Amino acid sequence: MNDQASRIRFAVYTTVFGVLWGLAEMFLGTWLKALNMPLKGAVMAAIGAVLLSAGRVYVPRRWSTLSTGLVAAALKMVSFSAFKLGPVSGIMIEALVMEAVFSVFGNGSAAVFWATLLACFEGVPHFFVSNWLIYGGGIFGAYIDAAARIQKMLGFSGDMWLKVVAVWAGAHLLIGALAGAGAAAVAGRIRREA
Amino acid sequence: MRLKDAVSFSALALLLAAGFLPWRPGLAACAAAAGMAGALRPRSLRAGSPRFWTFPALFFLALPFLSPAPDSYFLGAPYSAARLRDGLALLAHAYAFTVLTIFVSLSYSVEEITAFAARLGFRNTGLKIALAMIVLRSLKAMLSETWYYYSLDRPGRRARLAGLPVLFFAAMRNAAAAAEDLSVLFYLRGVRI
Repeated sequence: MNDQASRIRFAVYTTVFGVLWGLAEMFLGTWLKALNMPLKGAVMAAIGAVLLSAGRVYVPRRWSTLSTGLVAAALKMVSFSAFKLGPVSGIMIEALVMEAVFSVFGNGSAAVFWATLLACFEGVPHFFVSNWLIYGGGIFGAYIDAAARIQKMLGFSGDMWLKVVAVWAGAHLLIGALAGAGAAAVAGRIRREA
Repeated sequence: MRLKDAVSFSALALLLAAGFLPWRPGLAACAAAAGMAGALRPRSLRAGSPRFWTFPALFFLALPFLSPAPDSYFLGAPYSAARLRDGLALLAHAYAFTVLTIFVSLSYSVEEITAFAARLGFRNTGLKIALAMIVLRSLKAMLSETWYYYSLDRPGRRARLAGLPVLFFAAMRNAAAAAEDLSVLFYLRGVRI
């Protein structure tokens, strides 16, 4: 494949996969939000990570994953659920994390698994950073106070909120591991069919 | 530097600084950030609907009454004045953040973002936006067609849920096929990228 064909392939594949993810975010993401489904961010991250992995197998070139993420983020920005900075920045950070993993470790099955797992877990630090950005530094004290009071009212002892955070982070890891196995299987199948 | 760029950068810097400042200067920084954006784009001050603000307002107003260290009374109910002050600062920060977000989306067009991306080294941004608009319609049609045949083959919610990986893979392969067709077409037409 010559250089021009390779550049065309890069631009077209990253756009098509970005649009596919953007469509999933626009429709499925908005639907899950309307349902108030718990861990919807991790589920959407898992879907995006599988698409990014597949895109990377089709176009195994540096920056292709980040480029795909930018298209999805741009589409999410203009979706009908209005401008949402959280999901848009989440998409971009997820693409950046996966790009970093693929650039360093290649796009073999192990790299696909770990990149997907990391992308799904991104929601955990993202929650803390975005809350700090939106509300400022005092927000965590307010959350801990409220949790301690609710815990006292319900009669739970110890730092119950820590357990809740641990379960929440663990659920992200579990979704990430399942999606990682799925993404590795999909990537393997694409390689075999190519 | 254009006025809107100067306002965007200064308001963002003030908002970030407010995250580190004590409540009084922090509140002033938030007010200055929202004021600057509002002076240039008054519409950005109408940030969020009343429904959007109901939950955060209730949360931060209820919090002082849940504080384990109350230091004042309101209608006989003990509450923490310090926590109320903090809550108001957090609400002000959230409001200024929302105002700034709306200011940015009102101030910059797709063309300006494309030009900015090109300056950062993303030269094909304009082409990709145009391509995305074309692909969006065909992918939507492809997805609904894939879903139609998938659901025809699997009556019932359980069967559809169990076959989701198949649907996912089919959608992805169809998208890849569409991308390959477009790539060949662009190459044959001599599109330079």
